[in-house]
Amino acid sequence: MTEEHVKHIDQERERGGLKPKYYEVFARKNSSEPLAHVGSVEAPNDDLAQVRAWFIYDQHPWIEMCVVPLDAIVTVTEHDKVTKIKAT
Amino acid sequence: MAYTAAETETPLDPAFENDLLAIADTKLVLGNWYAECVMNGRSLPDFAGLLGMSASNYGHTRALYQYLAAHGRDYAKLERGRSAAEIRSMNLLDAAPEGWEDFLAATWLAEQATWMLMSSYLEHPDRAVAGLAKKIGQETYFHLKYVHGWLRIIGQGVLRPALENLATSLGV
Repeated sequence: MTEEHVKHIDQERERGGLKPKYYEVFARKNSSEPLAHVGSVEAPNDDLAQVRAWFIYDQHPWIEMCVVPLDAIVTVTEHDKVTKIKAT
Repeated sequence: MAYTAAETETPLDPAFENDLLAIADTKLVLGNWYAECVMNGRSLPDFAGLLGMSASNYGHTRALYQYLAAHGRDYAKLERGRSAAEIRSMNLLDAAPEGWEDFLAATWLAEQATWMLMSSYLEHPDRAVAGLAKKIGQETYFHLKYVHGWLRIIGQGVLRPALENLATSLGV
């Protein structure tokens, strides 16, 4: 493979940082159901997270789909722990 | 508004038919672009996005060809019976992209241009055409959002050379 055919990926810019950035995906089929967790996607920003979620989790004609940055989720309880006080 | 269904087998207005064929053919080539460039995606989720956009553009093409076939055009000829010179796609897509930024700029322009044309039929009196326009718009929204997501990343100076190359190739 010649140098000109090598795919160069800028990890920092194109994958959202040195570590991959993840979003959790929630969706519901109709208005009588609550939003439920259906999976997660890796994306460097909100726009690409929405598109990737839309194309990857297309098993139903969802009435609503949302993505939430994993960083925005604050753990309240964890397995084997009644309450977790998370350091800010 | 009350929609009416056009009578099938009746010939379409030539200008209208030309518009639909230009949109359908551009989406055919655009679908090929996405399919060809899947492995240029930046990650597995990117591959899924590109494949999804390829499939939905092929779907738009197929639906438009079927509509034209219902009004007297030969479907087999539309899909498989024409030479490259007879395919009425945007000239912009005739040359392969020279890089990732060029690919994004060109696909954004092609998606935007076909949607500009198709959106003019959202209120078409034939409900089949209006429905097609609405469905294409719903799916194009995600195609444009995909490029917007990438423009936010590569727009920091890297995109400018690609846009200048594009302007040169378009002669503007």
